[in-house]
Amino acid sequence: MSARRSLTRRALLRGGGGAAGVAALGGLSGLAGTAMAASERDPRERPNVVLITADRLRADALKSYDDVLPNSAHTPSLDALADDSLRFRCFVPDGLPAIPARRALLTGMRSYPFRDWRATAGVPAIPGWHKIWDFQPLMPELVKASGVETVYVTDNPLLSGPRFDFVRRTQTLPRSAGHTSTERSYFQPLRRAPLRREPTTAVLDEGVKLIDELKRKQPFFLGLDAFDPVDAFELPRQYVLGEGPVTLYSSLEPDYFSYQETVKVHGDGLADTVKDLYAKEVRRVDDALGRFLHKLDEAGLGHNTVVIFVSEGSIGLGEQGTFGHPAGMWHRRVYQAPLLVRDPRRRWAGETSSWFASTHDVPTTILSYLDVVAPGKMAGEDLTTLFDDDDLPGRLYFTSGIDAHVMAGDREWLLIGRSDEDQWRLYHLDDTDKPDDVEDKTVTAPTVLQSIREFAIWAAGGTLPEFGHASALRPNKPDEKTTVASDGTLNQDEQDAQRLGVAQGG
Amino acid sequence: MARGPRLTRRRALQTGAAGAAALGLSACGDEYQTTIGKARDAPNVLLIITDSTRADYVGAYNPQTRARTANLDALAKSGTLFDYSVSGAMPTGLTRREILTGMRGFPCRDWVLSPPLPAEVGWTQILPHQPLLTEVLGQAGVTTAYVTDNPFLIGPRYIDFRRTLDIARPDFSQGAYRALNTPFRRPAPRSAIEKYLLPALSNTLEVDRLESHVGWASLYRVGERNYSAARVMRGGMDALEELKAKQPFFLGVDSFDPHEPFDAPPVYVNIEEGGKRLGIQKTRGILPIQPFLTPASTLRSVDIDPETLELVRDLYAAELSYTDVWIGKLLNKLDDLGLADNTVVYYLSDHGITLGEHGIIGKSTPRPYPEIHHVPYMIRDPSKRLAGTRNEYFASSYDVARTILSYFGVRAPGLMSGEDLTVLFDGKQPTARPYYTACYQETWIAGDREWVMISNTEGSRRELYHLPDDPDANNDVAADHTDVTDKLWAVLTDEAGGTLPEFKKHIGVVGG
Repeated sequence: MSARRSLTRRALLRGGGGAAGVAALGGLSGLAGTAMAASERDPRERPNVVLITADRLRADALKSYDDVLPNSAHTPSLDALADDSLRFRCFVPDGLPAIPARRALLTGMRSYPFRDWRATAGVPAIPGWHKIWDFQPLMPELVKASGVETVYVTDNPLLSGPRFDFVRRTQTLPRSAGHTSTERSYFQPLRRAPLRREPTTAVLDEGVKLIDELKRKQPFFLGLDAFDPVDAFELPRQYVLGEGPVTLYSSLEPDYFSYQETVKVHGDGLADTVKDLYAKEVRRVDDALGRFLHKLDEAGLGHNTVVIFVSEGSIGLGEQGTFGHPAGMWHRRVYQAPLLVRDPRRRWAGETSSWFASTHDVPTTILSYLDVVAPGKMAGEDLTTLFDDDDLPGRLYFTSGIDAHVMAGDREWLLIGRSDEDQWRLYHLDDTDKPDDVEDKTVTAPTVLQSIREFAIWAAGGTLPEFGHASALRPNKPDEKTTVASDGTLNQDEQDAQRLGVAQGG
Repeated sequence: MARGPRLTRRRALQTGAAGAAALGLSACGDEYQTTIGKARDAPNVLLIITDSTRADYVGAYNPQTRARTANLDALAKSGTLFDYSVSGAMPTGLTRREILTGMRGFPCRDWVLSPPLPAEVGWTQILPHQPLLTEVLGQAGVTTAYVTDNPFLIGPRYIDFRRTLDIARPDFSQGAYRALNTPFRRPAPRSAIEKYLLPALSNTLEVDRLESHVGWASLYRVGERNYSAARVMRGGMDALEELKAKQPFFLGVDSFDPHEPFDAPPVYVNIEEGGKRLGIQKTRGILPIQPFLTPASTLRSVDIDPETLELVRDLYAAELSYTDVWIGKLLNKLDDLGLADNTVVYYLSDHGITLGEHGIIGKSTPRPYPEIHHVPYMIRDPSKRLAGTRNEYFASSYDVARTILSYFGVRAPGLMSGEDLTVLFDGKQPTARPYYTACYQETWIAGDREWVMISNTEGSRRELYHLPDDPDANNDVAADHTDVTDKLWAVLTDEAGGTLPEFKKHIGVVGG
């Protein structure tokens, strides 16, 4: 890339930057681009962007990540992609599972701590599970408005309505007659579909078909979002659909609705069985990804296309005997998902960052690649900063939520709390641990706990929300004498406060 | 090129040093230096803030104003003016935090008591994890300077902010508010303040304030140049001379005037001429420079008759006129140094003040009507794009940081939630903002081009005004338009993240 002068403050004070400020004002006109100054950008076309969202792929299912799940699948395509990409080792989605994580992926606004939750008809009443609200920015919408051909392939029924005209389905969504899209039960009909293609395969294969079409309409943005309606609110498919012998152990009803409790099952070799099944799924994802990336290269788009591969969440595979949704689980592996960013020029290829990237960083990053100014509501960071050899702002801990649980931590610690009660559990993570045999006792480290807890609450805006049965609540105000007289000025209480010397604002 | 020691980029990535940097910088400084890219041809930015400035006293907003604001009017003519700007959180301390961090202060959910800041809702120091405009600029190699007499910014709670500056010029001339910092030990005797003291306030905390104010003034004020706004603007001029060799620079000039007490230099106060002695000045010889019990009084409770009220308004206008004159001198200096053509001039105020409207004088927390929340806001582009235009966008204080960073070509941290207003100068529009939402401490304000709703924390007292018919907001029509209040309440809730918080006075945030 072009040589840039990132003046340090010290260098500038020494006089190194004296000349830098004598402005040639011609360069100003381009400054408004999201982040990068026009004067430093080669005049070149905007790249294409492909965003691949995998469903519940654990970070340790990838060979290229540090510690690999035992009996994990052979994933040549994922590993090849990782070798060409910047890997984010400590990526934890902003909110879990499928619905909140995808909202952050598309709006760039944090879904944590689900304060904006309002129960939506047709969707289970779980904090964080609702549609994208009308006032939220929508990354593909902005991309499309900037003149980029935009296609987003997903079977997520929540992404429907007038704002989602860029969405393409791999199958027809069932519609109940007489119901508007907001009223129907979003997931139930899909579950009963007798022959359902594996969603990642279906979506990526659709992407393969689309490449020829999009090749003629560059620059394009292609979202491939493997939304699995069953997984979205239930146990891993292995349990429910009866693949393998697992159902025998878990003895679950076919319709068992088990989101809120994480299932604890014990059985000899159960974890191994589940992991084998999981590995098979990962293998399928890898095959489909390979086909898609091959097609991309074949179409000659490999070097002017950004590929961002992200998983919307992770899954418990027997850590401490728990399976499924990681609500309140105390193992970092059940929260860590892969995030790979392949720059068209392969900057930082094969490198690893430990910065706490999250799902809500993805929209800002994509908009930056496409030179679109990100709306202020988007709270994520522009990860392309790293490709310019600049630093991202500090993010001391990751924070995420699932249900009423709050997870926060860093590379050493994991703190889990519930938003409705001030009880926190702190765990120490050892990188050398064996996944099945992790310290499951809480650690007493008041300073660490305090520091992470403060950060988690601060990141939530200052308080953690309380949840009612259908929305986050405002607590009742404690009894308090009214401080304002009927004519709008101060009453006695206020004046007392003044006499006590409480300083008043200016 | 000379460079501070820093980790290799590879190691930086692998250890996640970007995260460590935020800590490391303030702690030890030398181990790792964050780099942030900036544009090579970045302009300079001069940010001028005046406290307590009502938009309708500025000529560019209201040609009939009794204040003379020729310099601000000229600035508006050579820049773009935002018709209806409402700070995201008010008053002073809350707005400053928005400006410096670029994060929304509304709805004050992160309020923590931060003595000696007032124990009022939202008065919080800049919290450790918040980004700081000046810090980000410093890391990008921009020289940062800030000149202010604002008693909060120069106080102990803003040390972290001042540490990020290359040039910091605090000015301690706001005698009346010295108590927030080092108490002023030479107050004037009671006899010296009688000519300023309304009889109704003769037994209140305002006595102490006035004694400190007059005491400071009698010691240090020799001429007009020693009045607070003049001292701040002169500090700005000195800083400009120094900064000329250190471009690109960011200079904030943040004047607490025209904040009360309204004691402009005598030359601006024409009360003696043409029989203009009014009200209590005529009858009792009292010049009411501090005409209310902070934060607000009713006109009735301080016995202000209509003539005295006119006098108070004249005094406020005089204070603003004199501040404007000194803003003019600062802008002249910018011109003289040859910097005007590559310096953005950004001007705004944090909030206004009620001067008799609604029977109130001062800043009543539950009554932030347009005279409080409608503030002047203008940007002059160095290449004079959009000169003389008016803009309908609801620009606000939390847009300042992101806009300034964008002028320097620096990426704004994602936590900064304002919009980048520089896109306007490229003929584009920022992300649509159909409503403004704000808070004056625990009072919510929401509105659009037509309506404005003022609500208490719980939403049990919602007032609604239709501004096209009722620009002064005298006629509450909430009862007839519950659909509008419900809509605006929903907007407030959405902007607040889903729920609005609840507060307990002098304690903190209760929840929500």
